[in-house]
Amino acid sequence: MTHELNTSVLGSDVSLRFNAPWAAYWLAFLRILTGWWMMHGGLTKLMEWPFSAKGYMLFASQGTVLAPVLQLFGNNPTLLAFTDVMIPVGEFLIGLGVLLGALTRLAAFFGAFLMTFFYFTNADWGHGLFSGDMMGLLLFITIAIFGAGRVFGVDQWLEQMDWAQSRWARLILG
Amino acid sequence: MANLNTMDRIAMYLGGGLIILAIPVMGVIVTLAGSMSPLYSFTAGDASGTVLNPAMAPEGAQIVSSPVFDPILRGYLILLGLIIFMLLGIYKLFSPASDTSSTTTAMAD
Repeated sequence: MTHELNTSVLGSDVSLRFNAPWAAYWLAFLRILTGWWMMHGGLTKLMEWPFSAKGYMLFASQGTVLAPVLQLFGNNPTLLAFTDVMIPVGEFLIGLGVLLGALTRLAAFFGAFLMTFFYFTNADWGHGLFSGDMMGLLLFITIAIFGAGRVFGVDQWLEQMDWAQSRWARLILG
Repeated sequence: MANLNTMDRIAMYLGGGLIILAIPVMGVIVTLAGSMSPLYSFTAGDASGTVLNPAMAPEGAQIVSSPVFDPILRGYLILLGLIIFMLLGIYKLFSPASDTSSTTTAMAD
């Protein structure tokens, strides 16, 4: 079924026509692949435990935009230990949440947050500033904007519960 | 999905299914089987790396880790899935437009 969405963006009236079943299918497809991509990153780090981000934080990211933040964390043993745990665990949980469509917007928010760091500290810009990290960042934002967990996701079920009717629940589900 | 035709369903189930199978499903199996990389890992003296095919490893290199599923096979599955999506796109170019539609008006800024 073709839907026509009439709305206003930045003062301009726009009419967006799209095929609703394909749009829903594609959101789920995009979500599953993006979730697996991030979950794989965390899972392999967890399986090769212990993980250390020290070399990356202190040396590999030198000269990049966010290097001062990474240096701050890399030179403080407590913050470094926290980072060494949170990178693998965070990647795994973000990926799992997005893959399953559970607390999708919350997971996608942290995915975008992490990708922002990766984008600037990897600075994989040899072929231009639109890198693979930027694509990942945009994927997480897209998933969050559309609330892609509502298609074949756990959030589709969670959103039927009473506690999920509040505004804050809507912000993390979807 | 009442307004999807057979071609749409084939693309969704087969095209998307092949890609989901090749990337996350096989990926989970490969990873849990102990391969941190989907490629073949080799060592050659002090050097190490990964290759798509053991034959591509440098001379004298030793393959130290092989994935459960050959990466080339996974690549073909992904390619097949993408071709199915592409064929659906071409089919839609030449098929009559659907006449079912609905209109939604959304408020913004």
